[in-house]
Amino acid sequence: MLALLLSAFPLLWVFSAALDAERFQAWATIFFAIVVQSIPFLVLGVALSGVISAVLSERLIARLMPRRTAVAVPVAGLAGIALPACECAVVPVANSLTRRGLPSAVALTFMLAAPAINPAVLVSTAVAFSGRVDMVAARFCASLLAAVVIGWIYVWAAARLPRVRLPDIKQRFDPHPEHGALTRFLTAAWHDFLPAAGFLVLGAIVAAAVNVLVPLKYVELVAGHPVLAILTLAAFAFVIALCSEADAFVAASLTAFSDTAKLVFLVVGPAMDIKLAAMEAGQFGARFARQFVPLVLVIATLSACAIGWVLL
Amino acid sequence: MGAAVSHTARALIMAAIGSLAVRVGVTDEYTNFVNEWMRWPLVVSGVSLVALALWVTLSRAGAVHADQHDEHGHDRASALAPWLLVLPVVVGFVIQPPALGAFVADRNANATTGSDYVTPALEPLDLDTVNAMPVSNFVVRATYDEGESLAGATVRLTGFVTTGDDGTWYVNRLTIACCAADAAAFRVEVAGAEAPLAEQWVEVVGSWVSGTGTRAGETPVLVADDVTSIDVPRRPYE
Repeated sequence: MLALLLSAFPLLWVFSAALDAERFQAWATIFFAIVVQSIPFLVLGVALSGVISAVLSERLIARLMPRRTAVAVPVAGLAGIALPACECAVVPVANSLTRRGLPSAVALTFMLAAPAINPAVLVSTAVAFSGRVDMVAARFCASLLAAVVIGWIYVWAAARLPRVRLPDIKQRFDPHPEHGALTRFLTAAWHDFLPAAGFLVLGAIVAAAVNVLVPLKYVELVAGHPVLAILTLAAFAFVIALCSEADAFVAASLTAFSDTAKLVFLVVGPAMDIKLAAMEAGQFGARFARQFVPLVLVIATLSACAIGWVLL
Repeated sequence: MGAAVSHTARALIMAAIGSLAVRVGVTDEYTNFVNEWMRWPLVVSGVSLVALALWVTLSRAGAVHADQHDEHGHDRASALAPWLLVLPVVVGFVIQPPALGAFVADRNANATTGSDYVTPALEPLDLDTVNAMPVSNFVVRATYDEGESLAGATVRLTGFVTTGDDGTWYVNRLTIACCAADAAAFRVEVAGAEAPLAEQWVEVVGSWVSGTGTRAGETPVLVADDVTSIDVPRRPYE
């Protein structure tokens, strides 16, 4: 324990030496802001996942969702509209849904769709883009499409390709059916919060560093080249890890880029970023994340390009 | 001991994060990092975390299983993850980072096209009185209708000072949408007054110099009638 604490000091020292004081201060502010911003959303997500663990029985889930997994995937994607929270909240929720017997492909679809297509995000997108309905519609369609396609890939691949890793669902705690619903709720929340929050901190460290080290001006250098612009904004969305309710404002300010490139930024960000990758590796296992993260990046980018080509 | 984070230590970490959220929400510190409406969610979630940590410690719930978990050597990374939460606690209680300021303003001032960013409140200004307005609004007005709505009006801007190379200085203000990570910076050059100290907060009363800042990315100029130094406002972002 002590060794760990001590080893953290040289790390901080390296940081402050590499960055000048001003930069380090900006990093500290942005890092802390990301963490502070996500605490309430994380608590909300953990509370929801606690409710799911305590109240939703496997029978009820089986009754609510279509029996065929391939049909359940788009249903789960659309159900994402109902969770008005940004992406930190949704990882524990998806985890608890799978613990309650929802097929993991269906839970993953929900996890990918919810942060991008809920009303709060769509409204902030409309505000940021001065009421451009086509941008909001394109974001909704592209994010939903990406989530559903990835869900179907997992449905299809789980049966056929043994190398495909499904999420590693840990039965983190015994459900203890003899306990009351309140105890089950609290125990689930206790087990979910710390791992999710810890990995979120890891993502925030990197995202804040990128924010401080890479100004938007450098990103805009490649705006003229259509393919490079799309790849850059996809990568930028991944590393900068903005909250899905705020990313539209940043996208709108990237005026040098084409609308399709901006759409890629808006679709990739909520589906996958460094913060989510860290959290998912923590919740679902590193081996799953090594396949899932690149898959989501590729599908989200392709889906945004396709929808952007049609709608924008 | 290395990998395992004991039950009590985890409860302590959770309580620390909870009290951090409560502290940031109860004091005005939250305005340095997040939006206005985040205040009560922060307090409520902080209190819940502290309460949950207390409940877990008193009832010892979940403790037995956590120990089994470690015996399996299952997933070291997950077991270590809670330690990462010590970093925001240290940053929040010890470093206490200030609001973003000159660093961001110097890097991307007016990089955001105002008309996209802020739904411009382009109602006509009162030509007989001083119009207090956000710096972003001033920049938006200069760009959006080529300054037509600013012509002839006296405005008051509130922001912090940064200085340029050749004696020029600016009044700056940042805006945030969600948290400080998405801060955008706006600035207006001030002419006709001595530059205050850098990073001093000021109120500048003056009028727009016709034709400045009409293209996106340009910096509009304000001729100052009066510059007053003020304390840091309660809300550092617009």
